[in-house]
Amino acid sequence: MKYKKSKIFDYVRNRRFQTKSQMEIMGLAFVVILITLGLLFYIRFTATKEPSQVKETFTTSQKAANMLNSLIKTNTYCAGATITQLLQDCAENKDINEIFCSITMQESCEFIESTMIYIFSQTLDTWGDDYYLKACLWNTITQQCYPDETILSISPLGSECSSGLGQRESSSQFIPVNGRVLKIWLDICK
Amino acid sequence: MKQKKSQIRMAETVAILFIFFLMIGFGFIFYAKIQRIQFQETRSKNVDLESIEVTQRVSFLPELQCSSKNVIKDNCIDVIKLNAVIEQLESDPDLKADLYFDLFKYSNITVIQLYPEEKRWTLYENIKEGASYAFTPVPISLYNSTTNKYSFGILEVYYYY
Repeated sequence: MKYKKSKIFDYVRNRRFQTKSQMEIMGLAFVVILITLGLLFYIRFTATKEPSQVKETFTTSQKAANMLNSLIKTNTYCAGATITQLLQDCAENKDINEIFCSITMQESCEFIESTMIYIFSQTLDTWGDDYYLKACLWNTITQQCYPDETILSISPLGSECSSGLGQRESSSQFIPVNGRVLKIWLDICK
Repeated sequence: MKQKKSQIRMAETVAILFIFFLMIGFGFIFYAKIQRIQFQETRSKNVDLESIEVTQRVSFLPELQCSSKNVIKDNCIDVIKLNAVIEQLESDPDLKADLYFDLFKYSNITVIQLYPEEKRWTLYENIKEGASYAFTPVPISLYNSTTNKYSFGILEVYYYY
């Protein structure tokens, strides 16, 4: 064993690294490589950290909640009715709406949609946010929309926000309609 | 021969010292850069927090909030109160410079009614020339107590830093 070790040592010493200084340089190079690797790791995990998301998180959550709360309270120029009243009329009298807007010649269902699209074009579209707004008669037992009871569905994406955790900020409101419940919710996609 | 050997040793020592200081120099430059990045990150986070603070102050300003029988309505600005505050600020420049500067610092606060009619009120304007700004839009309800009607609006806050 002793013989084998000294043979390897002799081989390295005499054949590969003929002088002591060459071995020292190899050691130095090794140290430099280690330091470089350490610095690269440091850059990877600290310098390239994601920028602060404080403001974005705050504004998105506030936008979703405030937008929906303000929207449903707003009085329209359609007989002075609020968006809530128009939604109730649209859900209660689906075939022939009671509220008719003589200025735009639209029934409540059509009027709500065009009004919402206009407001979103001036706000969320301008700010570059993707969103999904839906209103439907809500089954409180199954916690789902009744089939074919969707009153309103607006989205620039044409679909819902992706369903992963933290992918959207959501706000919802429940409106009573003829002994049933109408749910309206707004998702702002991140 | 002996002199030559010592000269080589001296040169070797100088070379080692040179490399050593070079490495320290590189290390220092690198550390400074990292510190700068971290400082900018902290600053941007602080600016974000300050702009949120100003936005919250405007949203919950008692001079503007809607109320009914002493009950405050969230996320709502009373148009009559808003006009009164703007009038007051225009007639008393000291009010803007003293009280409101402490609240809003360098910012531009505008209330925009989007629906059913478009209207615009500039509540506070104190722009810092050449400075960067953080923009925060807040959807709000605008209440007119004389007609008892709500409009849809946006509170725009530009915070300069």
